[in-house]
Amino acid sequence: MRERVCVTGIGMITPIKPFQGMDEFWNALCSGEDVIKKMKPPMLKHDKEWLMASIDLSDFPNPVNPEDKLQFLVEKAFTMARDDAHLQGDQTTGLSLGTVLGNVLCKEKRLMEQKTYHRGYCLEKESLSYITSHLVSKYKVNGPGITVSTACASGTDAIGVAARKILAGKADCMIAGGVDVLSDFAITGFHAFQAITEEKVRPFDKNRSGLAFGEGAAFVVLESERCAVQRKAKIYGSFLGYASRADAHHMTGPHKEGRGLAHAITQALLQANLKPDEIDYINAHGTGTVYNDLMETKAIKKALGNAAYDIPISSTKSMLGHSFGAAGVIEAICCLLSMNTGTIPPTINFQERDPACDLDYVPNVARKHRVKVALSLSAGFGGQNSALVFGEL
Amino acid sequence: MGRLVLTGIGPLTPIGMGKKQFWDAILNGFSGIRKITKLPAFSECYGGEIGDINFDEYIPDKRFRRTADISRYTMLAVKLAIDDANPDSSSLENLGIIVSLTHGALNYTQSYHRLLITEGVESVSPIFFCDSILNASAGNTSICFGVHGPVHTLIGGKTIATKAILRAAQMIRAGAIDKSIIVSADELNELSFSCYSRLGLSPLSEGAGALFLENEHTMKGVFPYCYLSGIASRSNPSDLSLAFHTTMEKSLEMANLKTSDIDLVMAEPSLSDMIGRCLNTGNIPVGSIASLTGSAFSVTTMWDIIVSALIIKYGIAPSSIISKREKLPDEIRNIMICVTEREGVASTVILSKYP
Repeated sequence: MRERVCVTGIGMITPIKPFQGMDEFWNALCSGEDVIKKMKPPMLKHDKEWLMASIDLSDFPNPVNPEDKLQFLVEKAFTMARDDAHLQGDQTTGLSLGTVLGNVLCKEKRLMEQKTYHRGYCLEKESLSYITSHLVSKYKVNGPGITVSTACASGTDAIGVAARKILAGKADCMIAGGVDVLSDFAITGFHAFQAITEEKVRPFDKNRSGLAFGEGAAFVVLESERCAVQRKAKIYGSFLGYASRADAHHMTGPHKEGRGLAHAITQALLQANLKPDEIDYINAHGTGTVYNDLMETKAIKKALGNAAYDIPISSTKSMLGHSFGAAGVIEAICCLLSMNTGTIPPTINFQERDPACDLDYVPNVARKHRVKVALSLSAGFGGQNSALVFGEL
Repeated sequence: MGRLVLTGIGPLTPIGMGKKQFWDAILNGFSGIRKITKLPAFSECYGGEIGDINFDEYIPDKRFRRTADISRYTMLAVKLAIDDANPDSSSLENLGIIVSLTHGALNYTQSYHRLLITEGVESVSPIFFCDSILNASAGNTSICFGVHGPVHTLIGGKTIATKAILRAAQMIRAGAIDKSIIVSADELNELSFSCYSRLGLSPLSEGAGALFLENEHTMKGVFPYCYLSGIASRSNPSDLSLAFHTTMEKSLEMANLKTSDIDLVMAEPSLSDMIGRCLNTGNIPVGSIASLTGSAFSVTTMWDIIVSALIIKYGIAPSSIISKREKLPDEIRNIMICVTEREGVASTVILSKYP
């Protein structure tokens, strides 16, 4: 019989109740707490403000150097997940980390301050895979260590890659996560694409006008069912399927019919051996941009047919903003929490229905709903599309 | 499940582009290390550059004319590997691409920031931005060749090329894809050149290398260079030597080989002692392409793998890159490629002669 993979630990730091634990986070999210506000970017000397969801480090009891934010968040979320799973030392444990920008913040700061090569000092932290190397080294990770970068699908792919490592027998356990923090590079870049909204983030709404930035770090502990059962671990849910497919269409724009995402959903369900009407909840990529939300709606309908109209879909980015590499993992955790609490978080700021986006987006108010199977979707630059399926064990 | 065979290679290196130029340069001991021309601040320094290539001749699609060097290198190497493997177009349907890189498009990232600092927010270039993202070269490549399968980018140091092969092999074995292109690429940049030179890592270089990997049952009309008989990667932050030993054992076990079956090891010369200890011999021939090409991190590992495939295919062990050649057997059947990172990561790949 094929080995199964379970989720036995979760941990994350997001802009919503960042240091108050998972219950506080979930309650606030399901209450539709909106923490997105206009702010200046972290380092840029510019008067313009953009909508962002930021993690305020002053909320943390001990002082943290803002320059070490990424490393701080990643270690907090990593240890939260590891401690939640009560991992034991005798397992082969690996790490799979998804990130869009890696540790470019360090390099960016140097560039911003115009400390160019003439100053000639080398910062090890500038290495793009530094976070993974650091965690591997500090926490004595003895299994595979991988950094995955597939744009905004990075976190989702990090989980998929990790699960496959366990299924291939390369590790008993994998800690899979994603991280990215607010950076001037990303903010100004998306500004150049006119992808940032000037008002509320309204995924799937007729008047949606773009995304807002977020940040965070999130990890899940994936473990073979054999190991999890043997050590009587708490099981949040079972990993049932994963697929990643490319649009091969455009570097920054999604395929208008959602070809790649539909294909990824179909393949993930095939792997999970599930039919469309067995899905109880979809956590959408739902950025709030005109093109993404339309494409995503078409992809869901194409892959799931008529069943798509009966499945509750929500975009938690309406509250958390888009945290890039962390987004896929945060949203996977939201799927697991939905399964465990029987509550689906809402899509907030939803005012007017778009005739082209005609599915059930759980507008504004959370919903009580039994979730046995949940689907988490991600898409990103480069034509990346990924789908994860989780289920009750 | 059949063997995983290597049916196409795409080297883009400072000593030549394409397998013929590359192999001829190795046989003739041609070095690609010369004074740097691309980085004005380092014009007195030495490194391995990719010379002027008429990119449009190989990739005529106008959409890619302004892409970063790393994307161009990736696309060229992939084209070379696809042309070499010569698959029919239908067999590209369920193809994956795994890109491994160490630095990414640093030149575009730097240009982006320069514009931002000097001209302000409204002047930044969307092209510099989207091509600076870590998966840009993978995205461009999938668009260029119409690849709809999984397209992943893995980031890391020298071992990441082997992890990309491992990932591709796992996906093929799991049935997620039928075949995969694995490509490694990087570009020279002032910031990284400065940093690594100060750390004593030179000469540095740039380029790309691609492999076409498939199941022996799906290959059509080509005879493979070799097959992937063993592969393993391990991490042991407190004992690199142990990680190295474990990967060797695991890959040999997977290949069903003994240490005495290994005819040649491709690895950095600094690993010779560790290799000798792990294989229980000080006499094994060791080679590395880095002496001719310079070090391009994960790309150099990929070039070592490509050279190994050529050595197995042609049965010639070039003197320019191999020490202790007198210890080589008449026929080279198994080559082990070893690579380590100082954080305690070790990877081993074994390529074997296809029967």
